[in-house]
Amino acid sequence: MITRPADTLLSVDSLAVRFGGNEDAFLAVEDVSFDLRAGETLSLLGESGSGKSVTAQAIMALLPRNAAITSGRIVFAGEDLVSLPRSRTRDLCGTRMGMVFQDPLTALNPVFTVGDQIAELFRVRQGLDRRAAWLAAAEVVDAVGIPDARRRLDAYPHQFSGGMRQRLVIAMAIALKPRLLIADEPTTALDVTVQAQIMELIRDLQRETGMSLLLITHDLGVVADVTDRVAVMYAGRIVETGPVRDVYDNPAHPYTRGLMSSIPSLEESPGLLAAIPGMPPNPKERPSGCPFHPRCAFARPVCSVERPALRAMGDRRKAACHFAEEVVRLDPVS
Amino acid sequence: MSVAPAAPSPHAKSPRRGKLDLRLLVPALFCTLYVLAAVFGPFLTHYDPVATNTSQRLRPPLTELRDGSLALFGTDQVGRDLFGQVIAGAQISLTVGILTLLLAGTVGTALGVLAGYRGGWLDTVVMRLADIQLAFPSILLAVLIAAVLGPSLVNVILVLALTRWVVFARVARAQTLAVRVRDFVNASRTLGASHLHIVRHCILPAVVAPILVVATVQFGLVIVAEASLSFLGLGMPPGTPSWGISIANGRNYLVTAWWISTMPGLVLSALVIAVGILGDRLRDRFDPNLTTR
Repeated sequence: MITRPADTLLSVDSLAVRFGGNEDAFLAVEDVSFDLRAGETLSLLGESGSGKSVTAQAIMALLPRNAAITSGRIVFAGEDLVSLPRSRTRDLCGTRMGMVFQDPLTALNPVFTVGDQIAELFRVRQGLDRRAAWLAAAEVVDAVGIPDARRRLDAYPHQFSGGMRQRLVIAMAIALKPRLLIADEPTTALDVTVQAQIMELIRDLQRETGMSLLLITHDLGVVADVTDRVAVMYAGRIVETGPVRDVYDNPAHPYTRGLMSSIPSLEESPGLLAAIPGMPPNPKERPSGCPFHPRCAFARPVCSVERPALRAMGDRRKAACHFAEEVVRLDPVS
Repeated sequence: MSVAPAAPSPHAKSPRRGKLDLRLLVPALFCTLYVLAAVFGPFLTHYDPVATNTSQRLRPPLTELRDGSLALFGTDQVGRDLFGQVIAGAQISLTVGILTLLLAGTVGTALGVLAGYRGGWLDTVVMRLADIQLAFPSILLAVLIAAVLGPSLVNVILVLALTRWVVFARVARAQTLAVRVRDFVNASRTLGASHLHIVRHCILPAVVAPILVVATVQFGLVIVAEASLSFLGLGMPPGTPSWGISIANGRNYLVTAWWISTMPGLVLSALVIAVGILGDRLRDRFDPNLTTR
């Protein structure tokens, strides 16, 4: 057991999430552990199907009906969310943790005005009266950088652009001043120019409120700018974790290394983009040993037999590769 | 039934907004006419639908009676005025139709939303019950229950509601299933919304539009069902001027006095057709698949 710093806000410990019924059941997330300190930003990085969104859903109690947490603990501010009754989780949702969704087009209720939706939050959760709630809504909408906020409260979600809508989703998520914000690919559905604005907004809000941020993304560029630490996920497990600069410059896992070298560079002449060969494994038929070995350029016989544990590399990094020490010493990527 | 007010939905695009849509307007006007006749008809005509007058029996339509009044639709075998009967019948048919749909719609929607939202055993129980009920012809079920309960207005409404809730439940459930996994519902959840709040603010608004369309379509069917039950002597008590009873009354006189069965029959058909067209048009306009996406 690792001793945790006193200011740990969220601590996920050996989390496993199972999908499906008896025969076709599979683990979408397996043995995932990480800590998030107050005010810190951690990015869960991985391609589609790596289990990063499922991890977020498990934390927010949003898992679909056919999924269940089979083991592990999710300790948030001293309380284990897994064993907590639903009513208590609901209390925490919104007030202590908020979530930003991937697609702002669908994350707002289309039949109510923006003001109604946000004011409702203040009325139901903080007991404000109609007037005060409306003013509070205007304030938070203003805080996420929507011009002319008071007038715009009367508009329906479809009357906003994608970027503005994502600002509204963020406004709702932070309205009750949560201590943890989970952002599940908050910029994926947006234009590139808007992406930067949204990330900047999230970062500004984080600086003002001191909340922790769990950022879930497959966008390596987004991660580099805003995050303190990254956890790279592959096939439902964390394969590497550490401070963002270390992991980016000297990956200790061949998969991370593959990800980094697949980023197109502005300096080098445009040639063929480096890609990781093969496909992520089907979660129902994961390879024996290291799940990455069929695609790994460094694979050796032991890799197909024995699964590497996630082990410490120095005091701040961990990697799940038999040959992490060799990988980390390779030339920096790009 | 007049035109249902459209929910302010961004996607309920009507290609001809502003222009007169005759196929919507004509049936809507027609239905309004029936409502007006049912509500105000008894005050405007002095025809008593149940007063017998044996000296004036079996008069064809447009006969001038001895007291100087005009028998617009003729009289039946005991001299009751058919126009009066038809108007009184409109009252019964519309009452039955509206109350049945209110009852079936409320119960069916509630059960459908509950089944779709909760899922699990509740969903299984409610929907299998619905499947079993759909396996029987609904009129057979209605006849069976009506025969047990006996003829009365309340019983007719209960019986018909019992055969119709299934349709509402299935539509409400399907819509609930589609909406409950949408992002904005999850978003509400992450903001700590209670189940009741989610149902009221996320599910129900999406369910209302398709349910209204279903109600319009079902309205005609319910009216026919009421007439059928009354025709068979299982609906309204004998002596009430229901269209079904009036039609049944004329059975023995089809050759000599065709108007006794024909007049209420025509009026019934016209209403059902008008409601049917109206329902179709409303469905085209406020397609549930568009309004919820």
